[in-house]
Amino acid sequence: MMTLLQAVPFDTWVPIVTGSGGALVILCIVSWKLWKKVEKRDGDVDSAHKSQMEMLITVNKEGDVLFQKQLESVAGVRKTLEQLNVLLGAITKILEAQNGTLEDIRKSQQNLHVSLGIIQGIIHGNHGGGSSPDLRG
Amino acid sequence: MAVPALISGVDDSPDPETVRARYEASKASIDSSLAQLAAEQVKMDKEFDKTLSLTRGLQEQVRKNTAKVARDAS
Repeated sequence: MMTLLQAVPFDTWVPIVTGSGGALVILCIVSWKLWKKVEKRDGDVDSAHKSQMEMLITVNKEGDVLFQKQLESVAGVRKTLEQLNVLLGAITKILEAQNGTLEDIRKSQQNLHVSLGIIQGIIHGNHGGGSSPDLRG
Repeated sequence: MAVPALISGVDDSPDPETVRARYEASKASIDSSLAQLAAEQVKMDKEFDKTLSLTRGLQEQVRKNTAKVARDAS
């Protein structure tokens, strides 16, 4: 019985083998190129993610600076309100004294002087008056 | 010049993990600032409530005094 190799002439096998080999080589090259393309795309994703994070870092830093400024501003308003409250308390006491005797008025005026001293201390960064009476009504 | 810099195509930018760590640090910092701001805002609101209360007390006292003056005058 003749084998396939014996049945088909040699000059017929040559193009078949070279053609198959060539096709295999082309297939390998295409696969390799496709693989490299996918790999490159993954790299691009990583790079994009990194640059996105770097942008967020910049935004966060700028936001942080703004929030710190706002914090200082709010703290400043709160301190001013505290001073205003001391003053309002003192003025109320003066007005209350006007309803009373002359002696009450005199005492209230003294209290007002103490309160103004505390306010001046706060304004000048000297938080004195800790032992002073609370005159905030 | 460093040897890696001589090799073309070498990426000398920080690696993703370093960038992530920096990002997490910046996020923690801004979160902390926001928390501080919120706390300060609450304190300021309380102080403002006190101001309103004192102002109402002052207005009430002025009203009483005005009424007294009117009574004394009549």
